[in-house]
Formats: sequence, structure tokens, C-alpha cells
Amino acid sequence: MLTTLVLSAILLVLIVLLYLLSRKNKVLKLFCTPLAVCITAGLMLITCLILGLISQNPESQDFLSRIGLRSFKDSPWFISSTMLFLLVLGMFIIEQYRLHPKNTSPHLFTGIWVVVFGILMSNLSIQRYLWIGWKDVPKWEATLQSPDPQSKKLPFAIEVSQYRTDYYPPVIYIVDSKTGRVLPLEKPTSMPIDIAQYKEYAAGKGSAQQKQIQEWDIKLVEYLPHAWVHFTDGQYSAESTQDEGNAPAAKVEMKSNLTGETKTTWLSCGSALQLPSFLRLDSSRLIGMEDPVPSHFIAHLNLYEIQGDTGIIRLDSVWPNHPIGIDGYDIYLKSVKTEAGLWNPDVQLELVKDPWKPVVYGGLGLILLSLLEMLIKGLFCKKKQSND
Amino acid sequence: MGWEEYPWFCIATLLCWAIAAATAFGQKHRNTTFFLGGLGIGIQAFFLIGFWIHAQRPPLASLGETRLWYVFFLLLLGWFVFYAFRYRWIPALSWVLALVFSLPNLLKPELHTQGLMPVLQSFWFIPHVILYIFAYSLLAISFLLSIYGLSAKKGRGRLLLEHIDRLSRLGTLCLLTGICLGCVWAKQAWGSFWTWDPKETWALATLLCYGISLGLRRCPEHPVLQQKASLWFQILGFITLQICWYGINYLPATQNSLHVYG
Repeated sequence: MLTTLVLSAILLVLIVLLYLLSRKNKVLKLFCTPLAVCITAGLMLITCLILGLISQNPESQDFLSRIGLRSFKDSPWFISSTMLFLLVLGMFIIEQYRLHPKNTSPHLFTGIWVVVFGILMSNLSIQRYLWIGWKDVPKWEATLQSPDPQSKKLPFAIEVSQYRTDYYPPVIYIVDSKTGRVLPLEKPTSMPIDIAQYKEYAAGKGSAQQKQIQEWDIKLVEYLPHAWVHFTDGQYSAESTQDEGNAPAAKVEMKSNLTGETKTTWLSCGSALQLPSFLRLDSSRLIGMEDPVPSHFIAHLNLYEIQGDTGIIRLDSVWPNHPIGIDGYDIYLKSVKTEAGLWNPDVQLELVKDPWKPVVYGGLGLILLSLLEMLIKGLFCKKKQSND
Repeated sequence: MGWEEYPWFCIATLLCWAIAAATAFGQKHRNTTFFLGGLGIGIQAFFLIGFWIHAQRPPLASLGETRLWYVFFLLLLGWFVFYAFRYRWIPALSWVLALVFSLPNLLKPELHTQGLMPVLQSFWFIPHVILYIFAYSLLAISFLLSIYGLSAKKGRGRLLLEHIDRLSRLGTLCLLTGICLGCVWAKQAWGSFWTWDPKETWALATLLCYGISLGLRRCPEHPVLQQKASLWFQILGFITLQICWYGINYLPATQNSLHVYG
């Protein structure tokens, strides 16, 4: 943080100093023109294009990494072109405020300057910590994610009280047994299980879900969201269960439109504790069920904060796009291990400390306000012209 | 309404626009152009709304779904530009672009419709992607005008540049707003405003190209830069835009992008 503050102070002083000198120097005055901004933006563009075409890998030790082309964050080319752009843009902005104080564009450029500067400083000073925990076990430490990982004692403890993953209904498909590609290749087709339609069918109110994939008419006759599938005497059977390792299972009846052949089987995506259930249709194809795709996951946390001689427990929840803020940290849900089924998952949280966050939000707000101002001014201008 | 029904809507839209594009060249058939163009846009919009209701989520999660919006905005903007600026060839070129971007959806429809991943379930998802696709469409029209401008006779240059200015200014501001919304979303989702994901890198390159193009327009003391060079940057910007949108799916250096469409 101190480094970035010093860097920012130097940059701001340099901008103001060079601008003041440019009032009396013709060469420096050129730095305050739109052309100078375009040239420095062009330098940024060139480095962007070069780095964009090279695979980014900060841990690489090859020649491209040694000349600073494997990581934007550490690339001296990109950082220096960005700093030069900020320097020239800063001088241009001051000139615009002097020449056109009532225009909206200086506000927009200022917003852009603040955002670019803020993000650059944020990327240089951001700290990320990894917290791994188990249910009902409070933990006060997290590990700093850096080339030299270090454990850090947090000013608060985190305990996972509950965790839940919701899944989308599973999907049935026919695949090429050698490549695993969904068939037909020219129009990959699948049958997502329609839970609502199945419930109506099971209640005797509607028809069974049906779909044709290639020459097979597939009909869903039974669906168990939590099941254990057995393979006995050459065929599958399934029973509903909440036991650890259960998986969704679907019973399908299939009829071939080419040969008239019929087949009935249970299909299941399996889990860490049971193998997937599928049916071989011929030497090159099989029908199966895709692994379930999470639709939502959430972790309920107890946060233990020390306040003076006492402590407080705060109950909160974290899910994707919904971080929790506490003591200058933002807590993000990074992942949950579910290989062991629903029982006692590992939860991984990411704690982010970003002191430049308010600056970037301020810059973004300024950009959006200037765009709004432009829009309103544009509308009023049109109205005035039409009245004239 | 899903991808199975798409071919019918697509053919109906493109047919309306094919006739609209043909009639646009005649002075007497302007009303036919407006009516059929509007009808084609309405058909596309109807399919989008139906898809949204059927999928129970905004159709913005995959490349094919973004192409639907691109075609919609392309036709809408082509229609508007024809109405406002009277370029008779615009409906034809908008139709060609719409056809090009509809073909992948027709030939390889995404019949395996997926649900929305948890990370995409955000308030910022819809405005971020829609603004981007709208910007792409605006900049596609300005790209067409730029190509025309580079080959235009001197007499038509100034008015044409003004029209390119208006479209690319609005397109660039939409891009900028889309990037700002993307930064806010990225902070909420991943903890960083900018992670140098290849998609973000190419979005920045695109914004820089169009920013430079608009900046050069403010250099009247350098007429060659102001007129010719700014148009070339419009074309370069369009190329980087295509790379940003779907080119990263194919570039070897960008395969680890979080934005690569499944």
C-alpha cells in the first residue's frame, strides 16, 4: 500500500509540474493535445495486442517471460506505457478544464483516468487470502496467496454452519463411445429432464416426457433425484435413498424407429461412491446421463469478531456474486469439494483486501454520471434546436 | 420456444429483410422498406422474448444466444440509419451481416440448452452483455460506413464522417459503459476489477482502437489523421472487436479464458 501511495504521489506531482511547465514550453505543450493522448494510447494498444497474442503465464521462466511478455501485471512495457498514458491524459484533462470548464468531456476523461489509475494501483497492492475450512470448525487463519505463501492470523474467525448446492435437472444424451461427443455431431441433441412434467405424469395428470435423438424415441418413465443404482443379473435397478453418495437416476424406455427394437434401462450420472449407469446402444454409441451442473451454491457462515473485551457473532451467507464485507476484507465463496457427497464438504473462501476499491468505484461513478450528463445535455440541446 | 423453432423465425426475418434491402434502392418503395424491415425486426424480437420465457433466463449465456441479439440490434440499427441518414445500401449490408451471423445458428444450433452457471446469476449480467452486443452492432454499422468512407469521393466525405462520428461515439460510449459494468461485476464475482483475462485484454484493445479513432477526429490540424487514419482505426477496432467476441475461442494463447464460450 505504501509503495502505491508513493507512486501515486509522484505521478500526480509530475502531472501538475509538467503541466505548469508546459504553459511556457512549446514542446511540453504538445503533451496536452489530443494527438499526444492518441499516441500514448497507441503505445498501450501495441503492448496490449502483443501481450494479448502471447499466452499469459506469470510462473513461466522462458525467454518471453524474461523480457516481460508473459504477464500483464509484471510487464514493464505495459506498466510504463500505462503510466505514460496516465501522465499525458492527466495533462490533457487539466488543459481541457482550463479551456472548456463547462463541457462534460473533462469529467468523463477524469473518470477514465481515475479508473485506469485505480485499477493499476489495485492490481499492484491487492492481497488475496485462501481460507479452507470444515463445517462447525471455527478458524482464525488464512494463507496469503503469493509466490511465498504465508499464514496470517485474521482479526475474526470464520465457521461454516451450513452449506448447500442446488443442481439443474440432469440431461440425457447419446454419445460417441470413443470420443464422448454428443450425437448427432451436426446437431448435438439432448433431453434435459423436465421435473414439472415428470411430476404431473407421476401423478397421472399428464403425459411422459419424450424426445427423439437420432433414430431412438426416448421416454422418461421414472425419475429419482436421490438414488442408488444396482446392476444385477445383467440389468440396472434403482432405489431412492438419501445415503451418502446418492445420485439422480432416470428410467427410460427407448424404441428404435429403424429396427423397432425396444430397450428399457436406468441411467445415472453416478457420484464419488457409485459408478455412472449407461446403456451401450451399439459398438460406437451409448446413452447416458450428464454430471449434474450446479445452479446455485451457498455457504452460511458464523463470523466471530472481537470487540474490546467481548466478541460478537455475526451470521451471514455468501454465494457467487454476493461477497461479505468484514473488517476491511471481502469474503468470496471460492469452491466447495463435493467428491465425498453431501457429508462434511471442504469449503474454500477467498478473502480479498483491496485498499484502492473506493477509488475505482469513485472513478466508475464519475464516468457513469458524465455519460448521464451527456445524455441529458444532448436531449436538451435537441429540444432547444427543434423549438428554434 | 427454443432452438428447434429458430429456423422458421430466422428464415422469416431474413426474407423480410431481403425484400426490404432490395426495395431500399428504389425511391418509390421507401415505405415498403420501412414496413418489411420493421416486420423482420419484430419477428426476431418475438423469438428472443419467447426464448427468454421458455428458458426461464435471459438468452445471453452462450455464443449462439449472443448472436441472436447481435442480429436483432444489427437489423434495428440498419433500419434506423436508413431512416435517419438515407444510405440506400445500408439495409443490404445489414442484411448480409445478419445472414453471416445467423448461419452458424442455423447450421449448428445449440439444441443442448444449458442453465445459467451460478457466476452468471448476477444483476450486472443482462446490462453488461446487452450493452456490449448493442455496441458491437453500432460499431458494425460504423465499420461499414468507414469502408465506404475510405473509398468515398471527396464531396461526400464530410457528411459521412459526421455520421460515422455519431455512430462510433455512441458505440464507444456503450463499450465503455459495458466495461465499467463488467468491472463492477468482476469485483463482486472474483474480487478484482480487472484480471487480465484474454476477453478483458481484447476488450481493452477494442476500446483503445475506437478511443484513438475518436481522438484523431479532434485533430483538425492534421487532416490526414483526422479523416483517413481515424477510419483505419475504425476498421482495426472492428477486427479486435471480433477477436474479443468470438476470436478468443480459437486463438491458442487464449484457451484459458474464463469467457471462452462452452
